[in-house]
Amino acid sequence: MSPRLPRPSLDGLLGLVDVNAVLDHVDLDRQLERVDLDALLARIDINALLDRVDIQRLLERIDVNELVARIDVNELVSKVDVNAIVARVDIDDLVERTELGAIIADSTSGIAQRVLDSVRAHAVALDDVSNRIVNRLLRRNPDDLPAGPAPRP
Amino acid sequence: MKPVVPEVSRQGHYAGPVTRAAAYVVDVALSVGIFSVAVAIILFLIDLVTAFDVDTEDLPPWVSAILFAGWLLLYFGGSWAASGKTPGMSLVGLRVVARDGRALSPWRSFVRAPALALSLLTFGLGLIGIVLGRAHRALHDVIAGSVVVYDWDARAARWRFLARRSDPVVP
Repeated sequence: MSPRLPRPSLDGLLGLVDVNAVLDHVDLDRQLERVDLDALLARIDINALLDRVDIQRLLERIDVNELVARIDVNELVSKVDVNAIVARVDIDDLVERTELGAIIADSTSGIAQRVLDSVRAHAVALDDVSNRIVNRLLRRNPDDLPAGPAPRP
Repeated sequence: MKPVVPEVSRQGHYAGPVTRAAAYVVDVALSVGIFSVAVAIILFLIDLVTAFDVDTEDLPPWVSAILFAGWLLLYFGGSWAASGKTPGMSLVGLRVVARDGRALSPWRSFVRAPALALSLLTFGLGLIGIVLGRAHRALHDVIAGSVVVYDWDARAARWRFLARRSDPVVP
């Protein structure tokens, strides 16, 4: 019967190992390639993680004034196509359906203004009829005709 | 009901023959009316202040013609020089400007007035350009280097039209 050898302790064994030398032999890139990050992330409960974050405390630490001061508002506004935004607004509908229309009506509800608008509108409409007839007779494309001089002061 | 008022503003666009004819009719009626009333008042004052009993029929026709021509020059030329529009053009919503869109100079304004007479005296031939021309320019426009454009903001008129159809403001 062979004599029983004393069981080596784990601490004793680890004390004999040069960990740095072992790590030098480990190809970390290769090991990381073997890790399935998607599977790892799928196991993480993001909601639980977020529940543990004190958002209020986080926000309190953010200096909003400093953040806003760093934003170049002029640069931001210069990139906005205001004309395109205005073009998308249905002003006719706005005037007709909001109190804005009533306010305009209150300020310009004179009979004379109504008559003037009506007379002018009809005269312009007759101009259009005349122009259409002449353009057709002369075989002119209306789109090729100049609209008018550029407005100047 | 669909509004008659155009959806886009016509400001700065060349004015057509109907609006221009309407403005001429108003201006001729107005200028003749003002001239007649002014002559009547002046003759009345002469009669009142002096011992002369002057009647319009006593004046030689050439004197009346010169006075009337001078008045028309003042009425049209003065109006164009002052604001770029006569009372008739204001009513219809027109304005006279230089070809490049700038305000017409007083000199060109006063040249345009007798040139207008020339357009009318050529049996209307000088006015054909208003109907057929690409920029609706008459002979007097060519002589004075001017164009007539719409001064009326049709889009604003359309909004007024739509505004009248909207609900009134409840105080």
